[in-house]
Amino acid sequence: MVPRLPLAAYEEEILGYNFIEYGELGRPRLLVLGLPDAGLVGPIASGHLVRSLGMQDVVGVESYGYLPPAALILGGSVKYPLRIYVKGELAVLVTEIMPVPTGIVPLSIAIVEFARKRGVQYLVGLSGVGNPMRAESQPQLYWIATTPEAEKLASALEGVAKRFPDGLIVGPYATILKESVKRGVNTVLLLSDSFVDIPDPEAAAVVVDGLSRIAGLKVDTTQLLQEAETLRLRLQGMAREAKDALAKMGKGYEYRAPLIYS
Amino acid sequence: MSYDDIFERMRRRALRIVRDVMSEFDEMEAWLRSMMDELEETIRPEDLLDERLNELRRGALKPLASIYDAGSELVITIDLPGSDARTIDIKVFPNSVRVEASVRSELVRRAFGETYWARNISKYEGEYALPATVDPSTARVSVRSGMVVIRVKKAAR
Repeated sequence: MVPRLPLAAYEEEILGYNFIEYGELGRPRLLVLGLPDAGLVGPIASGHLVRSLGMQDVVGVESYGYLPPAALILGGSVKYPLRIYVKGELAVLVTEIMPVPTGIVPLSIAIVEFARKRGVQYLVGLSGVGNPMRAESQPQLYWIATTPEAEKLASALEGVAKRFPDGLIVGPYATILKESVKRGVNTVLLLSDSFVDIPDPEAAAVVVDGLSRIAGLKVDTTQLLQEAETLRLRLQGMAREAKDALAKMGKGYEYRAPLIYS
Repeated sequence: MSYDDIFERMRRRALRIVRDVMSEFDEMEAWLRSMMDELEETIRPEDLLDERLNELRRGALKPLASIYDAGSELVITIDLPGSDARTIDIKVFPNSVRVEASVRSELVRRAFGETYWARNISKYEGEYALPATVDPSTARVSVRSGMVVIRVKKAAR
């Protein structure tokens, strides 16, 4: 039998992005986001979650303006380059391809709005914070929360993570944080020190460990560390694309101090 | 209230509606135009294609590299995942760094599976311009898990 893309049971358009639901998303408690940013920490961590928890893809995200006309072939099946996987209370957004720079902000807003409409209790972003001296230090975990409820969730990280210090954040997660505050969405962003433009599986393992704590999951990161070199080679192309797109959206602003400190 | 006042209020309201509709159209037009501009100009898919085809034809990937200016010295990190440590060849010049290394074929297979375009990949080759002139005799190199870190002092002016 020829594998086919399942028919969409439900489709919703938000700011130029179509969320095509071809499986049962339900109402997950946590939607974890693996958007490309420094060190590709989000895509590496989200890919590891999907593989190690045996999650099922149920939603494809498509845009004929902001994404190249690309389809992913996985195990003989046609897939959308941006997909949401689900297992029980946990959903994970996986990103294979970078939107054009002007598509990053609408995607970030669309994700927050989708989560709000679908009654997702917490959004959890996984990302890296580019540290130029990363080669000589172990990655530290940081967190940022948008609401008191999100802070309560992040309190499980006490002793292993620090609240993110005063500074600027530029990229998809900056928009996600602002839109979450505006829309009252409980969002926790987990950031690990990472290489700026080299894929960083070690930093991804640190955010996965952080997520395991706040979500009450058991995700083994041994394989992620064992396969670090393979992942770095596989993601070399994606890292170049992400660096290009993030530089165009002003990533350089991250490396300067804010005007006012708290 | 006179008929003139009522008429004036209706006229203003109608003008406001027309203005709102026009501004919505302007916003939509600007949005569509920016989308088209981005697809045509920013992504430059022709460059991406040429760059990748060039690398794959030669079977040599350009390693990812990150150069950090640490004041008196430069810290250059070059990622060579899956490289054979015995084949790593680094040359530091006053204004550039050149690196070459073979990649282990089993790691290429693990990373790219049966992907047809990856079959030729056998080595890394890259040359990077430095943001400051350095003294190559001061270069210190360390290699860990396929990652090369070069620390080199800036040349005295």
